[in-house]
Amino acid sequence: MLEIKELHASVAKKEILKGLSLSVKAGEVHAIMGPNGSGKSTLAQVLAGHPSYTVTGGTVSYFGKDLLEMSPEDRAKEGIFLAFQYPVEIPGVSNSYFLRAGYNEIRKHRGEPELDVMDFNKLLKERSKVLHIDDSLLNRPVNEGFSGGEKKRNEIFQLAVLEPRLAILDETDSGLDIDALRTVSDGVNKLRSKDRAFIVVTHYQRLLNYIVPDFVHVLSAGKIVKSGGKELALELEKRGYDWVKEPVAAGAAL
Amino acid sequence: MSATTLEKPAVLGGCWPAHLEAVERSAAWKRVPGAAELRTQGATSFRERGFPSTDDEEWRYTSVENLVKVGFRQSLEPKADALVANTAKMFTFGLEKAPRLVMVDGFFSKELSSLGGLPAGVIACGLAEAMDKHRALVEPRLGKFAKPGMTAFTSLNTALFQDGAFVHVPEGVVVERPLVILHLSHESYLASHPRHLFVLGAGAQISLVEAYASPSCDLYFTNAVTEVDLARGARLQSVRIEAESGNAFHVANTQSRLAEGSLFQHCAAITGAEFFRHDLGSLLAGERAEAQFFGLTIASGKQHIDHHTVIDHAVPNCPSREFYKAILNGRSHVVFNGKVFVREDAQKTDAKQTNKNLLLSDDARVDTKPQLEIFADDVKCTHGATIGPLDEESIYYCRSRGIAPEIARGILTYAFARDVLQHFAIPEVCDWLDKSMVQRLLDAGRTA
Repeated sequence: MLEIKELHASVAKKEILKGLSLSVKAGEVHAIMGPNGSGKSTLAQVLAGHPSYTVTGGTVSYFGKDLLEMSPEDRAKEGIFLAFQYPVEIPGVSNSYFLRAGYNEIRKHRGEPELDVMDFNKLLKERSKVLHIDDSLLNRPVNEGFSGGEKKRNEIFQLAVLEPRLAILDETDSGLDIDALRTVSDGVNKLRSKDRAFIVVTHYQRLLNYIVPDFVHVLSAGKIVKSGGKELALELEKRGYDWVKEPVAAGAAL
Repeated sequence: MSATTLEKPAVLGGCWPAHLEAVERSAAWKRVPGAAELRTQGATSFRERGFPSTDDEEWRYTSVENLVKVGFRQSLEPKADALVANTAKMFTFGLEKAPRLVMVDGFFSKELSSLGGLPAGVIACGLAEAMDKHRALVEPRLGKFAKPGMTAFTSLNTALFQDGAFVHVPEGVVVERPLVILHLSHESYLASHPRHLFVLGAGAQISLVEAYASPSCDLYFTNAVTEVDLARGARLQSVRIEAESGNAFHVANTQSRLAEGSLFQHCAAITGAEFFRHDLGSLLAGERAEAQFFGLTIASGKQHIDHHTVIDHAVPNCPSREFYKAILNGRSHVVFNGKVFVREDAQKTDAKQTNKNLLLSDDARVDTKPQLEIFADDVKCTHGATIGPLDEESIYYCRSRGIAPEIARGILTYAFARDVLQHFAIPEVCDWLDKSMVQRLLDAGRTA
């Protein structure tokens, strides 16, 4: 599904990703871990197409297409979804209006008929029930006045509605208390399927107790320095990031 | 008065001395008992001081030069024809069945108004009629809140007004249905000076739409003055709609006095008029009185839109809230000046002022100036102003959900307007404004 090779990217002329490679297949859940400033969120934003990030080298192929050539909206239409670390507030527009606009663009792209307000609201109700999300959220302005937990839940709700093929969660666990973490994780687990892949970016192992990954990658100074199974996360929790950072970084310098 | 102001000759404008003389000779001057003295004060003040220049701090960003140049006509007699009747029907603001008080070119029109269905005791009529029939209500208030020499335009209005709207809701009466007060401008190059007085007794309640409209693209001048007197616990919620011709000049002054526990909510939706200036003031004269000012301006072309507000906290324990937003296209120029006075006695004042401006064009200009003057020490006062284009991060957020950037810009512009419109009183009017004024912003991204 996704093939990242030797990716270099910078923001404000500062290189953050320095030759990152990663391969993701349908149905897999990949956790990206690493210390602050290692480039986790940059990876998430580069995949979603944030205009402030410049790709300076490497390739990203998504279902055989050059992802880096695509606009952010085309990536979304092709099934990429980024759950933001800091979701944007849009006072004045209801969640349901906002989501319908995106949903119908994606439907149009797939050659499917657009849904009218009634049918779309029905869909929203269904999805909110599945995720145990209070449907009063739907008529509130997008993220305005939402608590941290509500914002993150709303991102997962959008994920459930837009049904992406590749979902990227950018520090979805940050700022969540244990109950909110559980709701969000339950939502994600319900959305796991053999056709859908997840890239879960997180600083802490905690989230991975709930969303159990198939692979764990450790990112340091802009590249993946260690990969392993879910047990790698536990080891990181115990030993911190330092033990993986040093030897491989030295080796990579050669 | 200082020596320097005396040396400078007052700018009177070509047509205005003649208008003053004509009205002084007319029956209107004497027709209304008690008003002659007020009119004289207005005329004298205008003759002495003339129009303001941009040296005047209150008019620093708003030049009246273009207005002063025009040779306006005046009308000393009401006129109405079938065409006006049809025009009046066009402007319902989503309130097709509501009682209506209609004025044409500064005169109350009985024929075009439909004032049935108001609760017993409520008075809604022309001001000229009220000055005759309801003197006891009018005389102690007229010119007391918007004083004759307050601004050059108020002076002119005081000297030259012929008629306007008068509304009185007696003590304890709650008017359920909104009342529409519509001023139609029908003749080009005409200057009209509608004068309104709204008086609410203790605990009385009413919602008003105060609208200024024209179906034409004529050049004309509306110079309106509105005075509001709210007794203890009264509630007045009003929506001001500017649907003037794109070439019109519109100057207005709204002054209100709020007694204990009363509420004055003023919501302004501005699209029309080439030149617009509104002075809006509330004197919070009794404890727990509350003023709420909301404003939505959508400006384009060479429009000049100026909101000057004053909220005067004279007593303790009063909240006030101001929330003004403007969307600017083309070479438009928007001015916001919000003064909040907190007097020495006004402890526990809770004042909040917000002004946000969205620039959709590089050639548009905003001058915003919050002015808090606080003389009490135990108060909560906040203000904030922003000027800028759409937020790139928000556009990206929309795009990441599959929404094309031009559509995202439309949605975000619409959202910017909705954010303040949702506070407006009268749901039917909100829906109408949404459909007629705000929804077209959804296309803004496509044309920008």
